[in-house]
Amino acid sequence: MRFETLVEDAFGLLRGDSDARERFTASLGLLEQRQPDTVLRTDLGDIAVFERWHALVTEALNEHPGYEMQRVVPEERLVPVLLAAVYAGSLEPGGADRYLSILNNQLCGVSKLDTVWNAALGALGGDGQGLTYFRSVLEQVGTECGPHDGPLIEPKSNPCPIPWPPPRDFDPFKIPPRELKQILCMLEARIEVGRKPSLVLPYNITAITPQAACVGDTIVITGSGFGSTLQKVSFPVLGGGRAAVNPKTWTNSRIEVDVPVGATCGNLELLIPSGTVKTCDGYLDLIQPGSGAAHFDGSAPEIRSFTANGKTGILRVDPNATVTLAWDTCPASNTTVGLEIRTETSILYSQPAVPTTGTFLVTVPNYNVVTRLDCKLTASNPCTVGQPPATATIALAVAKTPNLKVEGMEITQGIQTFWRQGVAANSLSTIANKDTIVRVYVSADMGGFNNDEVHSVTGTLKIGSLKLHPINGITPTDPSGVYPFITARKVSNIDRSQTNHTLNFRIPAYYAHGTQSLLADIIAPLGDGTYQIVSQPTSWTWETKTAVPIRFIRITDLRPPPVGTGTQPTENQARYTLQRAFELLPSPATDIAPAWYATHDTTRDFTNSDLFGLLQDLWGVHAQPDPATGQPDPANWIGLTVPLNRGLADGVACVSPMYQQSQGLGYERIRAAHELSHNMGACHPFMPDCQARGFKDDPLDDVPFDPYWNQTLAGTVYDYMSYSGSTLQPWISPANWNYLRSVIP
Amino acid sequence: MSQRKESPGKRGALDIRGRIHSETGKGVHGLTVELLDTKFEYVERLNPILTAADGSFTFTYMQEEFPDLFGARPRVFLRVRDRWGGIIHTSDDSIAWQPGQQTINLTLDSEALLAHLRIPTTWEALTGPLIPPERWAQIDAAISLLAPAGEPKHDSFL
Repeated sequence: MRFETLVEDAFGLLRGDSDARERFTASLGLLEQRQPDTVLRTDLGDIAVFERWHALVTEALNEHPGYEMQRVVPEERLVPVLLAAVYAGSLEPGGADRYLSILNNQLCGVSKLDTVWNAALGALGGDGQGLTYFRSVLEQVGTECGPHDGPLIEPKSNPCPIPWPPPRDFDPFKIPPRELKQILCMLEARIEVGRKPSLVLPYNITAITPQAACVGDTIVITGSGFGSTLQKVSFPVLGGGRAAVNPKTWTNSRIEVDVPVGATCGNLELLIPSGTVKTCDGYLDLIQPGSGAAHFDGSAPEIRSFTANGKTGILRVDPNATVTLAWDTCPASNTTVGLEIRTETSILYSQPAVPTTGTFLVTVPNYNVVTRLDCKLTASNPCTVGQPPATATIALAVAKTPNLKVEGMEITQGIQTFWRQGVAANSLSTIANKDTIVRVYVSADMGGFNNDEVHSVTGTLKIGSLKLHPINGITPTDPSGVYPFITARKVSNIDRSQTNHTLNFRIPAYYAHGTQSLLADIIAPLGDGTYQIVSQPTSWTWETKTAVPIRFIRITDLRPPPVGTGTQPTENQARYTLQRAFELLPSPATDIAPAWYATHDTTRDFTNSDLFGLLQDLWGVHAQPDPATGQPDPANWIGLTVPLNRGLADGVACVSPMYQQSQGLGYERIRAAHELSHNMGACHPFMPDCQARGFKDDPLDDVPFDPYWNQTLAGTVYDYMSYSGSTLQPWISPANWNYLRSVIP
Repeated sequence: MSQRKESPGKRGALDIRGRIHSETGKGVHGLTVELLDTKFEYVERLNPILTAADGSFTFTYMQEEFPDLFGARPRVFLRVRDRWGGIIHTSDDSIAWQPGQQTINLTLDSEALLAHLRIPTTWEALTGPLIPPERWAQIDAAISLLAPAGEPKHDSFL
């Protein structure tokens, strides 16, 4: 039971709403069931008893001048409920005291919180004494709790300081002031309502004629006890509110009133005031309760409810399932209700006249693809002539529940073994402090329904407490192009070489170290606003490798024109080239810097022979001492040129053209990595001596994933040290990845 | 300022009704309206009433309930008290006790209503839980000033 509902019904009751009165008293009855048996005294006599107590309590409260204590339950919430309890109870013998007793019992437990809250406010005031008092209050409350902050196994008897009604020996001078304030409010409500003689004679409606009428039509309300003073008539209106209108005529037994705009079916209320009462320093106007046949059947048609299996909106159902459509419309007396069930292209069922309140069983066709069925209810009556009927629609999303499964998680820094017969998945090490890509393979099985495809599947990947979202769709040229959804499909239809057959996540280099727990949560929509979620945990350990130190020399092309361009790479272009190169190498790209010999001008021709001369120039400088240390630089050097040329490497230095994003995927993407790898001992796999070391010049068996371009390298891919297929995008092979791992400390 | 109007009304009944509002024209809720006879002989029987939210009030006396008053026909007048019991208005004119309807509308100035309107007059329907969340938050904040969660003995008796 929600307190908000109780307050709402309390106000409805005080304003004459008989439905609210029934709900309110039923709620109090339920609360009564939850409390220990109490014997309610019925010998209280008349209001004079309460008036005497009221005088006593007022006197006792005056003993605490200036007493102000805020209540944890604000009076704005409490008082209307107390007043409504009295008001509802005034219509039945002993009812007012019964309902007040129920509320009093429910609230007495809360009263301890008043002390806690006020002490908390004192503690928050920054006063040391306040904190000490708060501590002592909690100590006291603690002694009144059972184990683990639960209730005591044997609750203390009579937990309420003041039972309602007060006992004969009630001495308000022994009661704490906060309790006095509450009982004063209760007494005021009890006395004020008890003084209202009109309550014993509520009006009674015997007929409303006609039962239903259009806006502007006159209806006649007959009955008794209406009084002779013209008052307002309250109609229920669409949307849940009420409209109070002035009637045309009013006598003690007959009222003529025009139906207002928006009037709908429900009970009419006659807003006959029964007075204003004061309780707890505030005022509320009471409306006389009514009885009898107050039901008005409505004006324009209203679809009060339309559900499929008890739900509204969109409902997912299996093919061949049976669905119960249920509806309730009004006015029941003159409304024609139609039901139609259709797909986008065809009508499955159409019935122009069904009962105003009813049900219909739909057997969903055995569709083999996702299909939407729209169930449309229409309601019309004489009030809607020339106007569109009232309509309500429910969509049935016909689909099988997918059997989603995470088939595996490929953890790669560009190259990884995965989904290969006889080869362990994820057998290649990944290196700490490098971006790491996780590809989550998700399959769906629906027994062939919808070709076993589930669209708009997304998910997250948690690494420790960090939650990552898919990077599908993001590229360096379209960084905002994320489309974090894939189609889950039958496992046999998942193509590893397709970037978007998997949900892809990037673990930033900062988090890629040590051993981490990973958790993939995959979310598939079921078509009705609900989702199926499957989770797959795993654990991953990164291998620590040193950052290979690389120093770059920016070479100025001073060859005579027109061959020479006079150009020199910028420092940013040099860094970009090397960062891309490290994406192929098992080492973090964190030790890249200009060489102490930062630039080199050359007039050498960039042909094979003269390129070697350029390389010799760099060797010569590299052998010289670094002015800062007095020793030759132990780092690898790379000379970077702007114009396209081949690369060359040997020993401690190499030459390579720079790489730019505009060059996209292709051989230039890997050229600097190729030359740097030579410096670390990598060889051309087509060379006999290289093959003697076990390297093969064959296409890769695994599908690389370029972590910069966020995409797989589909088709035939050769090792980046090979010259085979040099017009294609090459990538580092598992063999060279492991070789470099072995030489990088 | 008051305005008075007489009309035939119901047979055999004295019906005195009206509305009390402030200078802004807004009705004043919860004022006590007393009907008193000029000789104070029937005061006990003429129960006071409270104004409704729109400032309206209605006294209805049926002849069969008050035959002696309809016989004696005392002159009566209105007196208005605020929530604290202070008299804030007494009508200048008296009314003859006779069947019919009297309408009396009063405008009270802000000075007269100052004390009455010092605190809110009307209980409004509020939404939300029984105990507003911010009050729990205040208790939690105060508890955090003691041993914070996670520290030794934070969950034991203090």
